[in-house]
Order: sequence, then C-alpha cells, then structure tokens
Amino acid sequence: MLKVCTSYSKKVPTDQQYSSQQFHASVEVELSDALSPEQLQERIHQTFTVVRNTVESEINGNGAATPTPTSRAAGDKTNGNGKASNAQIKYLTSLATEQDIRLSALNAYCKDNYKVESIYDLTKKQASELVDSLKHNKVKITA
Amino acid sequence: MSSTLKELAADREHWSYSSLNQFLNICSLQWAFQRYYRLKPEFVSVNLAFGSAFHRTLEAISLQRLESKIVAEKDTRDLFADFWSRQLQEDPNVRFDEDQDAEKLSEQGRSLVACYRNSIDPAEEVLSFNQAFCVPLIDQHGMVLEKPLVGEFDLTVKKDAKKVIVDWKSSATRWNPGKAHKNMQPTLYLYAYDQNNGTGSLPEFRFDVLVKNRTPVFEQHVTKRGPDSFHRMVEKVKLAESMIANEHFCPSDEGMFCKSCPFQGACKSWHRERSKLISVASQAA
Repeated sequence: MLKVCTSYSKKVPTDQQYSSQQFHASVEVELSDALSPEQLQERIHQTFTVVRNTVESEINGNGAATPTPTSRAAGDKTNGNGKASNAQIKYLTSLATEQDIRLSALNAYCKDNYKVESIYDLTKKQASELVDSLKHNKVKITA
Repeated sequence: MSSTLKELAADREHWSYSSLNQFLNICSLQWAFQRYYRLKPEFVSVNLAFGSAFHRTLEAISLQRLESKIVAEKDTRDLFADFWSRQLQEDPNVRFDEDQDAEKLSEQGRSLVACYRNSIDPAEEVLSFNQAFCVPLIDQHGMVLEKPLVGEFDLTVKKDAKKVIVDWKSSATRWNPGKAHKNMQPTLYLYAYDQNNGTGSLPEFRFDVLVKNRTPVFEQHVTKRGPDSFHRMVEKVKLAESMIANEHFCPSDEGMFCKSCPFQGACKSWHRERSKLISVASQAA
C-alpha cells in the first residue's frame, strides 16, 4: 500500500494593510502499490486537483461552511458572470498543451462548438465539458 | 463579437503590461499599494490623465483611417481639446507638475496629435485598432500560469505586405535607440500574438512615439521578438508571482518614479508598519 499526502495552501490579502489570510488543506490517501507509474501520477493529479479546487472554492466563498469574504482582492476572484474560472482555464490549457494543441486551435474549436471567441469566454459548464472531453480523448483538435 | 479590454480585465484576475512593468521595473511596493492592498491613490498622475486623452484622440483618428479617411488637422486638435477637458472632469484629482496647468497641457496635446496626424504614412493600411487579447502564460516546459495575460493592440497596420503591431506613446524626452529592444511590452504583445495565431511567423512591433518638445517630434522604433525572449518573460512573471505570494514588496527608493507616485504617504511609513507585523509574527512562531 502506498500513502500519498497532498496539500495545497494559498495566501490572499485582507482589508487590513500589510496582512494576509492563509488557506490550507491537506489530504492523505492510500493507493494500491500495484499501480503503474502513469496510474500513480494520474491518481496524485486527481487528488491534488480536488484539494486545490476545494481551497480555491473556500477562498471564493463557495465552500460548504462559507466564511464571509473579507478581502476585496479575494472577492474579485469570483467570476460572477458565470464564466470559467482561471483555475479551470489553467487546467484546460494544461491538458491541451500536453496534447500539443495550441491556443489558436483550442479557440477555433470553441468558436465552432460553443460560439464563443476564446476559451476565456466559456462558461464554467462548457469548460468542464471540454476538460472532460480532452481528458478522455473524446475530441480531436488539430492545429 | 470580440470582448473589449475593459471587459476582459473586469472578467478575471490577470496580468497586463502595465501591471508587470510596475512590479518589475517601476516599484514593487507601488504595485502592492495599488493592486494588492488596494490603497486609494493620493492623486492622479498628470501623465496618466494626459496619456488617456492622447490615446483617445489617436483612436478617433484610427477609426477614420480604417475607413480610408484622414481627419483634418484642425479637427484633430479639437478632438484632443475635447478629450482632455472630459478627462479632467473624470479625474478631478489630477496633480500637475510645477509650471504646468490644464491650458498649457491642452496646447501641448493639440500640437502632439497634429504632429501625429501629419506624420501618417498614406501607404500604410489600417487593419484594426484597439484589439483586445487574453492568453495563458505558458513556460518553456509547458507549465501554465493561473493568471492570463490581458492587453490591447493599439493599432495593427500593413505595409508592403508586412503586418506591424503599433503602440502609441507620448514621451517627455526622445527615446534612446536601444530602448525598444529592451522594452517588455513588445515581448508580451508578440507573445500574445503568437499564442492567438500560432503561425510561427511573427510580425514586427513598432512604437510610434510623440516627443513633447516645444516643436513635437514623431519617432518610430521598430523591434522584433522570438521564443527565447518569451521564455525569459514568463520566468520573470513566475518570479513576480512567487514574490507576491510571500508579500516581498520592496520600495524603489532611488527610482525616478517616486516624484509622480500617488502612494508617497504610505511609502514613507511602510517600514514602520511592516516591522511591527514581522515582530508580531516572530513572537507567534
């Protein structure tokens, strides 16, 4: 049995001058030692994504026990317009980069399929759908 | 329809040329006061207000150029006077330098835009102006940064079948010939162009500079960039992000921008406030 500890922390500024608030989450999971290096990497990646998204969600005030956002800077990070978050777009772009898909090709795909100018105009749901498609090779995007 | 710079900037946290230039080249503490601690500036820099009116006038000239029209010189001057007057209404807290006032700057601005108008190359075709972009910052190993780069091409022109991206500047002094080659803006903007087009062939980048001499001078500075400068730039952004995460902001006490800095009061007492916090933190640890 393998033990993997994944943690993610982030500091955000508060209203008070020269001060910040730190958000931190840590998760320990047990994995089968029969996993291949690729499977292991994938499981670590999935765990980290969950931890990171949870921390980001807490910062953005979307967690289960929602604290009132005290930081103006942190408050600005929520995309109230329903557009995909920076974290989502980062993940989407990382997947595309791993598959040698350039931004221009990704944007062209979004234009054809979602009628938006660029990946930054996708809604949260559309970005999540596209991430899923890229992860499972459901779409073929060529430059 | 494409988003405007204002829309892109409002949508999400991002990096821009002005933000990176402020952090890396002007003063990281000034950056922090404005963009991290969100202090209210003590005044609006006259250069900022003047630059906005100058920029708006050149946009109006470019709109006409897009339709193959040239604005008359008198109308160009009137446009600046109108935009300048509106700018002063929008920014009532503008602080003028010694021996400057609104009327003197209005006259200077009118001369500058007239000089620009008279320097336009008729062989140059305007392809677009105020074209906003938003692209991810990706390092040489494929690591994607969370905050994208947002910006706007002032003008894109074509001459002799070659595309050129143009940025407008007004300047108090003539530019050193090497300045454009070191400037971060062409690196960021050509990186964005490369990301969005992916053709591998990059256009040239040109600064159209109006120098505020008694008789204004029009200068053009052309430069190029390539992948190596893009990789270097992303490394600098990564370093900036790491400094921000640790709140490592340092005043640039010998910088040439202190005089026009709108956070001079906060800067003067910064070390006293900071030392208090650090001593509390060390006691807690």
